Amino acid sequence: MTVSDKVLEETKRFRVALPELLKTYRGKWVVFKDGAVCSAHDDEKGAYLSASEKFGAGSGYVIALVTETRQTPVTAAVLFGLSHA
Amino acid sequence: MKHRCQWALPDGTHFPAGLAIHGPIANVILSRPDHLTAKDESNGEQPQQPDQSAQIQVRMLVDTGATKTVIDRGIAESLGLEPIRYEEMIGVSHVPEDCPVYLLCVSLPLSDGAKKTLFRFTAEMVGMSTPPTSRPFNGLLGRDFLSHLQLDYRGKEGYCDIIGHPPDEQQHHHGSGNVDRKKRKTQRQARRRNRH
Repeated sequence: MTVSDKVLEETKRFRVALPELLKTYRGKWVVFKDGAVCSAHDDEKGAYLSASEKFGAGSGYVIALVTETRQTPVTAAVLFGLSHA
Repeated sequence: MKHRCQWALPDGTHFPAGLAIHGPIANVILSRPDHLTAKDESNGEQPQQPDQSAQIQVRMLVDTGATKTVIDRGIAESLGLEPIRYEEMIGVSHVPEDCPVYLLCVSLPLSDGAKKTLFRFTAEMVGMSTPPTSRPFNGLLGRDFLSHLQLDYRGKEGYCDIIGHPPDEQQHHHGSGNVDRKKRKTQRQARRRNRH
């Protein structure tokens, strides 16, 4: 399994856990690994530094802001249905 | 200080219509965020110089319609970056697709006359697989990136300036006199002391 695969799997676990995480960690940047929050931070860089130091490269952690997620259009142009052009 | 986006003809003369045809394209330098230290500021930071071999210069289209900054996934992979998570993005297929998000160090060259500096951010970029069609840019600079900067679009004049205001003490000046040379020397000595 590649690192990218590990991160994708961990991201899916994060999405499942998100409703519960919102109760405790809303607005925090968290390092999430093996289905659990390892640490919570006020900013992304703090989370990144913590994860890098604790787990190192290739371990497949997730760094994410605990907030409601949504699908994002790449750019507003796609909302105009360029796929049908 | 500003980064000017404008188009030129092959002979180097300014081509104002290029702005409307192709859009404002910025030349930015991407590198791994490995050199980050806890004391760096989150905006306009000036951390240690990144390893020259682990950076790449890319052309990014300024896109105020893009929520997030996106780059060709191959570029992020060429820097040896690992994703920090995945996000669902909607592209031209209108089918949500899980895309890797990378944390990068982004350096934007700014100038003001002879004075030059690199404005450096730590920024997220979404990696996307792009079709193999020819285009003059490698990614989109979205509103998340632009939130650090000002944009001055001069359609009639045919240029667009990205304006940044790096803190004075965090600027890199090049060729602007003895005072700056002395300041840089002092900074180098301080970094050496910190390393030992």
